[in-house]
Amino acid sequence: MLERRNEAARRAKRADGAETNELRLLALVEQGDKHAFAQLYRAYFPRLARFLDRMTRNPGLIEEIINDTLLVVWQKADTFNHSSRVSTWIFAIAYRKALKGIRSLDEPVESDVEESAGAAELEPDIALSMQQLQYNVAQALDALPHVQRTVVNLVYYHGMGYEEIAAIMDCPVNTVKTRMFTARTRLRDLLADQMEYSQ
Amino acid sequence: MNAHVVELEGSVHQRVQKLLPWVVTGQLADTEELLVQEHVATCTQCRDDLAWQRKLRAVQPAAGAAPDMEGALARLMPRLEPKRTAANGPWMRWALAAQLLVIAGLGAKMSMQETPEYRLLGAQGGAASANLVVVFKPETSEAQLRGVLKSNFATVVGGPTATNAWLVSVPARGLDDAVTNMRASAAVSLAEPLQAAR
Repeated sequence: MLERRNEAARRAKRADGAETNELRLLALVEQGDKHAFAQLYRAYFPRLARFLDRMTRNPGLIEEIINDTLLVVWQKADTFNHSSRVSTWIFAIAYRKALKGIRSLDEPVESDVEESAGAAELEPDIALSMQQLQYNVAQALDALPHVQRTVVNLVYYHGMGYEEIAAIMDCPVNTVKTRMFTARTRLRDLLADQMEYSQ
Repeated sequence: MNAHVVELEGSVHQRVQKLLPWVVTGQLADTEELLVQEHVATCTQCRDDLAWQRKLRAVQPAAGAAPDMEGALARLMPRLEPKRTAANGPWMRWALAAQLLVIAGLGAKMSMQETPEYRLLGAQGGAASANLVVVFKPETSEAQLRGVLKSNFATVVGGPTATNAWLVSVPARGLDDAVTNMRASAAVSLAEPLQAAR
């Protein structure tokens, strides 16, 4: 447990350093510095692409959402009020843009329950390769309603706390916790054949 | 064990269950972590849940092909409009050049008028010719505007133009200082010496 705490402390220190750098870049962007903007863009592009990949499979739409998000960052850098992390602010913009973009294309935001149940009937295989497992986990995530999928994505793969996620998704903290609880219970059922539950 | 204790145990268990994902990612506050630790020590289900979530998190789900970042950035850059404070971009230079031409023409026309029909914000009657163009930010009050002009010994010759620019006259020796001061003022978005009218 002590080791894990040290790791958490190291991670927190790294995160603080990254936050300071992002605040510096954002201040330059506010002044119209395009070089600083490009740095911020390159720092966020992979993270946002990974985040949005769980919301849409349309690479063109992913690029459009990222560019629309960072365009808002360029235009509204002066409105960032420092009450949250830079990443929370940017992800919240991306989340809103994603919901809007997906709806405008008539892509299903919610999973089709029937179809999902079928897609999630994953083949049991004792010797699943990691690649297969990754595919199956992706399938199981896609079977979740998008709000639950987004929470799982932000918790497990973006390391965000429940307060940050509540700010991004504009909902109460308790809703985030409940969505995560419901999601992981469902994931455990969907992946029962692939990942043994008890140790 | 009475009903009250069962209920209490149940609520702690439920609370901990909802916190477990953030135990996995090491994101809990110390007080919450202590609560979880104490409970997990005696709860097999929570221990198993933790172990399962660690396994799940270790598997990065398969992802689609990532879009081309540099291509996307190259497509976005032309959409970035210059900031109002950055008067050094190519777009701003063209806009400024066009505006100065209009103002130079306006200045010449005004200097030919014998007597102004009205006086604006302390404008002097025909004697002074404009040697500076100033654009104030839209939210600037009249009092602020007057203050900036007064502190730079500037008098209004004309304006505002359609592009919201004021033609002002400052003593020739103080022109450079006035330009520097005005550019530093929070109320001014543009201050340029008017070469054509000198």
